[in-house]
Amino acid sequence: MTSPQNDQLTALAAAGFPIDSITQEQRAVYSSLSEDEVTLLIDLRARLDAVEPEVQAHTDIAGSGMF
Amino acid sequence: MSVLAGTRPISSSAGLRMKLGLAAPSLNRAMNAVWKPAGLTERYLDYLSVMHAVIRASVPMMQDAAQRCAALTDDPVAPALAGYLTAHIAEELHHDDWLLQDLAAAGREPALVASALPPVAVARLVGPQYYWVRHHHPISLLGYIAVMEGNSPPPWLSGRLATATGLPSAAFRTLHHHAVADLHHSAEFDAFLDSLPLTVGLQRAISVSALSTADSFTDLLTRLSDPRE
Repeated sequence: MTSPQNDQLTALAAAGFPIDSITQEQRAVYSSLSEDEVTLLIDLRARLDAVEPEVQAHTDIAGSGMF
Repeated sequence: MSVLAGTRPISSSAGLRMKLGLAAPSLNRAMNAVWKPAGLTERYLDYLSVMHAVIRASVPMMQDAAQRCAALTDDPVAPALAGYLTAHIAEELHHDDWLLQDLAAAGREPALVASALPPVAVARLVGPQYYWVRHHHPISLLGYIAVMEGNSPPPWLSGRLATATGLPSAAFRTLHHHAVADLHHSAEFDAFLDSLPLTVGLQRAISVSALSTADSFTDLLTRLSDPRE
């Protein structure tokens, strides 16, 4: 178990991201996030609460992206 | 490659996927919510209508980005990016028309779908790409592609939806095509990304675009599955 070491990791942890369980590679990448990237991720995290409980319990991931 | 974990460099694609991994819980829940059983038939048709508004921008955005590449002289990534986009344009042509045909097969009037004012959530999803391509660097579009192709429907979904909704198989042509084709596209995308001599700034342009796309697409899907949002 590790603890946040910089502003980016501290902000992600405060938003509820499981920073304590990330790998060394993830720590290196997340420590270099820009302020905009952190802001977007925190915004995304807040959207978790917008999904209904029965959907949250669903485990299969069925994508819906198209390009 | 710009980030080092210990002594081992992290590839551009791996770094991007790690960042998108943080976005995945919210995006995955929003994607799953679109396919929930209650109201599925009507929601599937709404989904096709919304995705028509989204993917009719795919080819024009890539054309704009390719044109910007041509205007960027002495840019280390522009020639390769233009080649990638040009090849991709040929693969994505007319998919918006396919969606209208799918909707027609399901009983919706294509002309009404095509002429409807696109939702604000669609403009918020697609609009930033036009801005970044024109006013920053066309490499930004790769972030959008990473999310929209990287979260394509699984191959089994169209069959399950056909059974659950009772709609004709012709209503699932585009969905099934993307389920199969985008698996190949994502692997091709990662290889291409890792072949580029990306600066830290260009990597960030891609990842900001990708996270913005994930955020806006999550919002779009949430509104689709729960119109009260």
